[in-house]
Amino acid sequence: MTTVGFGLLVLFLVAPGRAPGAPPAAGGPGPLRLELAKVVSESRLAAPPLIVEDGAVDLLRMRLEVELGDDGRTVDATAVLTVRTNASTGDAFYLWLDRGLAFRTAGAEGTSVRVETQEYPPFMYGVVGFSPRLEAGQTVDVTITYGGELACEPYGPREGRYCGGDGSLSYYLASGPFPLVMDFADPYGGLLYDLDLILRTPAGLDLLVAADPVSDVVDGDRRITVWRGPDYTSGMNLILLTGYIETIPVPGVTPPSRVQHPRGNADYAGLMAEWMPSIYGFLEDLAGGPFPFGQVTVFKLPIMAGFPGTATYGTVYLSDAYTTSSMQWFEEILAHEISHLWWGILAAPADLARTALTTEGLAITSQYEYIRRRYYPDLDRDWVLWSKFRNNQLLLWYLTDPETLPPILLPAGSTWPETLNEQVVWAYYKSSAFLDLLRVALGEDAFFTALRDYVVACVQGECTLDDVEDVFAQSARVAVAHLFDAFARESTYADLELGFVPCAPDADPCVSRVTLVKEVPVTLPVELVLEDADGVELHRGLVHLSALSEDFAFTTATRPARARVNPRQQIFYRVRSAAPGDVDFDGETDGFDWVAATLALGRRAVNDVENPGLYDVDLLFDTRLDLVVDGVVDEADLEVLRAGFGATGSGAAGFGATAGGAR
Amino acid sequence: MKGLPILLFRAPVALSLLLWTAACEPDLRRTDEGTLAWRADAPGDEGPAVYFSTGAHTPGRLVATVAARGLERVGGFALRLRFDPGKWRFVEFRPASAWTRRPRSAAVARGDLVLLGIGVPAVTGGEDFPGSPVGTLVFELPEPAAAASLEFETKKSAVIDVHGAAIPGVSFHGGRLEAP
Repeated sequence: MTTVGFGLLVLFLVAPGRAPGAPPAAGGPGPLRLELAKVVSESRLAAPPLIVEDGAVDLLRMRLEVELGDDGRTVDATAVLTVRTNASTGDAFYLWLDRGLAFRTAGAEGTSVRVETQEYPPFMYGVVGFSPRLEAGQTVDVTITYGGELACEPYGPREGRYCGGDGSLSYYLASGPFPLVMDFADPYGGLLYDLDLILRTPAGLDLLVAADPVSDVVDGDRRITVWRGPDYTSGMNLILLTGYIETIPVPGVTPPSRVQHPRGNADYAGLMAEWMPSIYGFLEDLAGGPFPFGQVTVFKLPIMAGFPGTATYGTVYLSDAYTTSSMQWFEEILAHEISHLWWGILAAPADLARTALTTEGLAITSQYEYIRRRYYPDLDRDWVLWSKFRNNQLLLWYLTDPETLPPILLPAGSTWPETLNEQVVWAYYKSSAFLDLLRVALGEDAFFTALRDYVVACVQGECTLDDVEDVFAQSARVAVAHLFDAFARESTYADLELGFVPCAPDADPCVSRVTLVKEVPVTLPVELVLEDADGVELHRGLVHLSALSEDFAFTTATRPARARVNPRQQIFYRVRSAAPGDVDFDGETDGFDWVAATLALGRRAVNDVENPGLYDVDLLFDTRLDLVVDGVVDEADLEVLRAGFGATGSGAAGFGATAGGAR
Repeated sequence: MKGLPILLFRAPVALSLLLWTAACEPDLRRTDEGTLAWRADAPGDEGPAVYFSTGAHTPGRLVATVAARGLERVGGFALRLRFDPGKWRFVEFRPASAWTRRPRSAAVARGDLVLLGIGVPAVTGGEDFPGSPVGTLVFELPEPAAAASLEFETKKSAVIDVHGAAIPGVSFHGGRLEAP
């Protein structure tokens, strides 16, 4: 198959009761497509299937006609798949469905179709092959009928669901009543095809389908609707909602958009409609234009087991679970989910199996920046963004082991991290932190120009992380390969020692010296900030640390009190003062550092030691005070500080009598 | 034991010579321990203050107690004092027993400065100082002791509240060893 985007958009969703400012987290259907792709990949390795061809087909078109019974579970369907072989060695593919369904017939003109069925509860899949084999480049329409009664059972440790609900609102995802197609040779590979869908559903039910509406006719007790999804990708999940649905139009946006909600459950839906023009305006600026859908629907889901929401073709599903903390948080998550229409739906990366940089990474980038621009445009940008990104740092450093968490681009052949914590931190927080590292290195204009260039290059394209690197390099006209290599392809965490010697108190001009020392060979962009005792910025500038140790001299109008590295870079840079224990970076280890550490004694980065989760981090935990980097400020950190007490920024130890100490 | 009679004979002579020399060549820098006394700058009548409440000069040693008043929910003290390392040698800082929770402290001399930090964890709620000791500084004074001062570097000294912010309006008052 061609590599055009990839599978189910991996949208995790928040659990109820989230703290304000906390990030989205796993809890929804999860990366189901990746999980199922892993299943068939491993099964092929464990036991060669009966159909032994190394398949390689393009899915050009999927025509589906699905009848859904009055019980919401009975399915009778026909799928006509237009496929074209693109290799001489094979022609097979997989079809996934609910295991309550069964394949009934399969045929194609000029060849016979074989379907080998396997179960992977609660799913089943068929390996579809041809006899005689198709020739390379041959196109054939495969007609497959299937039906039965949906089981709609939970799957996986998080008990995600691909169909469920009740009579008032039910949901159906691909791999339930709609086939999920995978390449035989490359189950992780992407698809790009035209979707045509005919639905026959109970006449009394409203529908929401992730496709553009074509026609809607009621025939007796049946409602017959026709839908079309041009350029549908495997990053788009074909989702159907049925039930009793009400609509709130969103005025003044392009494309026409609406908020829908279950009848009788309108809470917050009006707010969502009010927020959407702001979100659209922000995303249009970010991506360079409006969404190229016929319409966009945001559906406010009630809290439903196994389906807190997702995003797909022109449609966003967002659960009431997000409303339980603050409205600003709900708005932020709405921005995150709507941004996925770009980041993962329209621009579906070809290497989603190996990276979430341009899906979740960009969605987190979008939600943070949206909130900053909407509510805090006049505040210091770094301060606002760091108030968000410090969560990334805490999760990366302390909820996971950054040394073992895989790189942002997984090595070929490896799969997403296994545990929920690792998966979310890797996909959401490490990825977005790297994007922010790029943003600081490139500057605001260059970074956001590069994002727009990415949209141009990669919507309905075949972009991988290599392409993202090229787009950023060409757009910003600076070298970024070393950053992608060190921080995306490898897991680099650079220890950085900062020595600071301010000018003499009465020096004119005031020339202060900053010495940076690193151990890693990669050239590091480091944004240095010199400020006075009141925090007034005297100098800010980017330096490129290529040698292992470099001195930088800065002339300022007044005497600086401290020199620090932009904290947004300190997710990947572990910055220490050359004066051991100088936690406030004023160039010496003194009583202020001591008191700061003492006050924090006992503070833990992750409060739940036994069973740490995504929401257990202490957002006020100051990593600068954790001198031994063990996730707690304790006597061990005080010992480091005590040993350095009196040291100065040039690295010289204090002299004279030393004494004191803890009682 | 053959040397003992000689020593017994010579010692009084040596002592006499020493006393004579001292009497004939007065050293203006020299001050007897009996003629020097610790004197602290008194804080004003009002306002939060850090000051020396007591001080004692004994042969070869100066002990001065830092105290604070008008301060509540104190998280810690970051203090810096200037002294003359040619005359005094900093020995140690001892937190006062008046603290109701065990404070952690660190102190060091660097050149003519004594850097001092003392504090308690924020979870304790901090400490009130209505006029109570913070801790005691100990200096060694080479003989003969000399007059010198011990002053707070006010720009680098602060009382920190339990939330980590410097408490405004605190005045700092030093002291000195001088002739009475």
